[in-house]
Order: sequence, then C-alpha cells, then structure tokens
Amino acid sequence: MSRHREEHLELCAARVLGVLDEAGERELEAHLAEGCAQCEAELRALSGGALVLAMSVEQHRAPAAVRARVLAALESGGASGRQAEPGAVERPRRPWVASPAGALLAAAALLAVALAGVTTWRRTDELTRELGAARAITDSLQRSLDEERRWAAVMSAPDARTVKLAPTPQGAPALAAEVHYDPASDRALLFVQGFVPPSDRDYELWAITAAGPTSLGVVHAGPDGRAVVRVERLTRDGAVAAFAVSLEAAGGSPDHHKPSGPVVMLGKLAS
Amino acid sequence: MNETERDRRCWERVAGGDPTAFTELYDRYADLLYSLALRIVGSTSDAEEVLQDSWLQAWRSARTYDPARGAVGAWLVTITRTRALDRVRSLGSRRRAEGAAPVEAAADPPAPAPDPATGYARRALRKDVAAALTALAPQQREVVELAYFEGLSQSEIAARLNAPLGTVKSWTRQALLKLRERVPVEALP
Repeated sequence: MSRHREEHLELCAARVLGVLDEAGERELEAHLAEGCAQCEAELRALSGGALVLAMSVEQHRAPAAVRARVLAALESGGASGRQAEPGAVERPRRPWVASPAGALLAAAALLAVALAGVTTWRRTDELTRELGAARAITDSLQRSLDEERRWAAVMSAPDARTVKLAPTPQGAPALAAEVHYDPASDRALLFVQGFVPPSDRDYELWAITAAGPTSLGVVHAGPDGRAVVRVERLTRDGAVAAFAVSLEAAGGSPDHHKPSGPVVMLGKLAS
Repeated sequence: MNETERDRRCWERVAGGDPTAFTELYDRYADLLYSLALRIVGSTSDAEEVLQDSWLQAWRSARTYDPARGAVGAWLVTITRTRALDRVRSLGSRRRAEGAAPVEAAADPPAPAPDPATGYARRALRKDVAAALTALAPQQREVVELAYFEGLSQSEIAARLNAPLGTVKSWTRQALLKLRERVPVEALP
C-alpha cells in the first residue's frame, strides 16, 4: 500500500493538465489503484480548475457542418467500434511501458491505432459522401430513363398517329417533318430535317384546332437541321386537326395564336 | 439537479447507445470544445477536425468514462485538448509554444460568437471565469496556461520561466485549485 503523500497531490495537478511524466503517471496510478479518497477528491477539484481554464478562451460558434458530419457518422454507424465491455471502467494503466523501448513500441502501437481510427473515420465519411452523390446520380438517371421510356412509348402506343408535314410553295423543298401523336398520353413528338432557317429567322411549329392555330414553340434544330421536339398536352386547346410550320422573325411570332410569317409546311391529321 | 448531475445522467444514456442524448450533449459543449481546439491549434480547419474527431472518440469510448474522476464536461474537454495538442505536434507546429502570433492574428481569424446564449456558456459564468484568471498571480497563470494550451512539460516550463521545478509544481496545483474555488461549483459542467 503506497501511503498518501503531499507529492501525490502535485502529481494529480500535473495529470489533470496532461503534463505528468511516465514515472509520475505510474506512481500516481499505483497509488490510486489502491484507493485514495483524498487524491480522488483532489482530481475532481483540479479537473474543475482545468475546466475553468478551458472556458477562459475566447468563445466561437462551432461550425454547423461539423455537427452534421458527427451525427451522420453516428447514424451510419461510422463511429461504431466502441471499446470496453459493458460496465467496465477503463483507467489509464501503463505497466507495459516500463522501458524506453517498450514506451516506443507502445507509442507506435497507439499511433497506429489512432491513425487507423482517423483513417477509418475519414474513409467512412468519404465513402458516405460518395455513396450519397452516387445515389443522387442514379436517381437522376433513373428519372431520365423513365422519362425517355414514356416518350418512347409515344412511338409504340397502339393508337399512335403519324402525320407527315409537306412543304408549302413558300417552303424550301428540303424541309421534312413528321409528328407522332399518342392520344392516350396526349403527347406528341415532332421529328424534323432540313430546318436551317435564314439568318435572323426561326421556324415555329403550330397546332391547328377548331379555334385556330396555337403555337407549339420555335424549333431549334442543330447545325445539321435536325431536331426532335416534344409536346406535352397537345390537345389542351382542343382536338388538333393539322400541324403547320411558319418561318418567323427570330424568337417566333409575337402572337401565339397567329403566325406572322409565311406557312412553310402543313400536315393534316387523318380523322 | 445541477449541470454535472444532468450531464452524468445524459452520458449514461449515451453509454447505452442513445444518439438523442449524444446530440443533447453535443449542443451543450460543441462551442466550448471548438473554441478550446481553436485556441490550441490556431486554424479553423484544424479545429474543425479536432472537434469532429473528439466527439467520435467520445462516442466510441463512452463506456470508459469514469464519473469518479471528474464531470462529463471535464472529460470531453480533456479529450479535445489532448487531440488538439496531438494535432499541433503532428503538424510540427509549435508556433504557440514559441510565443508567436496569437490566434486572433492567425491567417483566418473566425468571427467570435457574439455570446452563445445556448449551452452552459452563459455570460455570468464567463465573467466569473475571467475574474478567476485575473485573480491568479501572474506566474501561476502563466504556468497553467503554458501547460494547458501549449502542452509544455513542467520541466520545460521551469526552464522557460527560470524557476525551480518544485515551485512550478506547486504553482500549478495552487492555480488550479484557486480557479476551481472562484467559479461556482454548481455552474461548472
């Protein structure tokens, strides 16, 4: 039994500040292990003093991002791997660091464990973020794929109808266009070729209903003059009897219910 | 129930694997731990890493916490301080120990929190803490600050202050006890 001495109290102070050397640590730990109420009380009081020191620093707000990362790691189990069996209380014991070589080995082992922990955490964090990003991409691709499937269904729908548009005398003979319309989904696809308008001009697509023409928008073809135009809710203004294409000033006709320029293509929907 | 007891019960729930209790403690102590880490490491990015690693370490080792040795807050502070000092050492940067620019003059000084209204860091307590530090004899204050924030050993401190090692040890203990005496027990975490 190591009897309590005044020096033990100074060892307690050094430990609380984390500056106790190895020999002192061994001595204090051996002393505490045998039960010293005075030193236990001293440690509590001194650790309160250290806490006051910690509280004396200028206060800053902890970044919210860290909170999010820490809690995310907990939720994902990234911080699992708890030590110690239930109910066990681990106290710092260092009987295995009796020699300098032992201390070096122990330090190396601790460092390895610490690095592994940090690496594991960083890697987990990284993988969690990558997984989140990958999921977002997958979700986005899935949505795109579903969308493409719905548009492709326009072509294969059992009662889909096709209209070929033909150039009018005002239209260039190279113009070609075809509309596929699916009444079930009320969607239409327009395929065009040769849509290379003169400079400062645009081709505009029109749906003709009993109420008159309705603009379906300007057709922006690529440099090769080809384009695919998708039209949702084709019959929102009533049943479509025909499609037309006009040649407009850049940006299209100012009136969405009346072409301003010449009609260059026309195609009637067979009833 | 004082804050120490409240924290202890909260930590028992954490040790039982309750994440809600963990969040509660996080919100109570994150500002303090971050501020401490920043004081030691001197850069916000390093302080953020220290804060994050400290909490994960606390969570992993929740069951090793021994209430007989000190309050939960003191334990969390110890973890954070140790990690912060480790980081300074691993960076090979001892600018603080060399007495170089204080954190306020660092390259990326963060704006101080106006006065965190939440958590335990209340204005009155802060005033007591400041008064307790001011009341210390200058050498006593220097000794504990060099040890606590710079991680200097007592021999290093003795050499730096040109004081006998025994005196440094004695100053250290006296300073800590005085700090503890001057700040209300029930207010400490």
